[in-house]
Amino acid sequence: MARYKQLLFFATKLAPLPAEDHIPANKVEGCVSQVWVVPELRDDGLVYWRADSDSQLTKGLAALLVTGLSGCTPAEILTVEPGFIEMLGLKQSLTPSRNNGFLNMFRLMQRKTLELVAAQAATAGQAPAAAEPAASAAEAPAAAHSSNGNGNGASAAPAAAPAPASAPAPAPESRTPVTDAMRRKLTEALRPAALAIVNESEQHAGHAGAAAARHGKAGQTGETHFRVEVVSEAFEGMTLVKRQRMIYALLEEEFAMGLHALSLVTKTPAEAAKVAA
Amino acid sequence: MSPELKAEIDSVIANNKIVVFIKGTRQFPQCGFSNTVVQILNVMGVPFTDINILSDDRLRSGMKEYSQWPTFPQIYINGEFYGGCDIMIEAYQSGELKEQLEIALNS
Repeated sequence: MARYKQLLFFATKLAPLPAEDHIPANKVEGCVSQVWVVPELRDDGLVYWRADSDSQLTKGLAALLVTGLSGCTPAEILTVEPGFIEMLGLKQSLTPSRNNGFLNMFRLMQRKTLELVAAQAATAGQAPAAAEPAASAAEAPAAAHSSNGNGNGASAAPAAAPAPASAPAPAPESRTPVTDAMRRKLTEALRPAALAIVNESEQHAGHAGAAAARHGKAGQTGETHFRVEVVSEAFEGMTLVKRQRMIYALLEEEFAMGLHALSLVTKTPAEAAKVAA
Repeated sequence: MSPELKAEIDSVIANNKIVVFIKGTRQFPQCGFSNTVVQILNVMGVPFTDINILSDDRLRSGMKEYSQWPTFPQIYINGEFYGGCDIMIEAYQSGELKEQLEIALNS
């Protein structure tokens, strides 16, 4: 019951949404009440959300998502997995249709994020600033489902790494040279709509190969194992093997430096949209 | 990679329908990704050959060259390079792997 009340409280905190944003393009499908969500991609390369609903409860749910997903890079938003909803511990407090509506809200936000990025890529012509979450994304805690389920909403989405300046060039004394190089090369070559690089080296510190890897340069900066998720048109028509080979070829130097393992998720924008839908 | 080693690898891959080059053995995988591949194949209940690339450094560096693939595990099905752990997981989840294995084993 307490969570229910919390949601209603959040609803009161949601900034009002102007009437002109209450349009079908912003409306969540499959929700019992009417809910609208509007993203804004700002110059810092981060997405900020506004939302509204005609029901207090769904307004509270929307507020949760707005708080959790604002100040995130598009890549962070796109790689959040819906499992966080369970972790919030809301499931028991909501009816199945409310749960479903919440999921649909989240999915629409992911889809709109993708649209934003695609639109920006179309107008920018260069690698969109939005597709370059700064190096701190690599140091942020891995997957979104590291949120604790205390229902206060702030930890619903990946704990937003401190909002970085949008300057893509790494500082001269970067402590993450491998990550930086990977980001630069992949961005240049693939012009990705979304790129997430997560350093998982800690998780592999124990195993046999890691000890050997530590001798390489990458081992010294703790950059041996990564999870990389790329959304790029460049993958159209390519088998998974081909896509991965392409990435490995781009990162030959890094492998020589001690990069040891890459978990790769490679999608075309169409495939990514299907998952988010 | 020495010609002898290459010939050996050619032979293993040609004579066994499913071959996985992993870290460790199928009984004692020494890496999470290699373990995942072993477990998936166990679940699929198919016969496969496992080669421990940690047993020999020339094998380990040789296979990266041979497959043009810098990481392990490396999976070969019916003499062809299939991919690594991510690819197998994806195919397993989509149901494609079951088909691919059946085709391979029946050919």
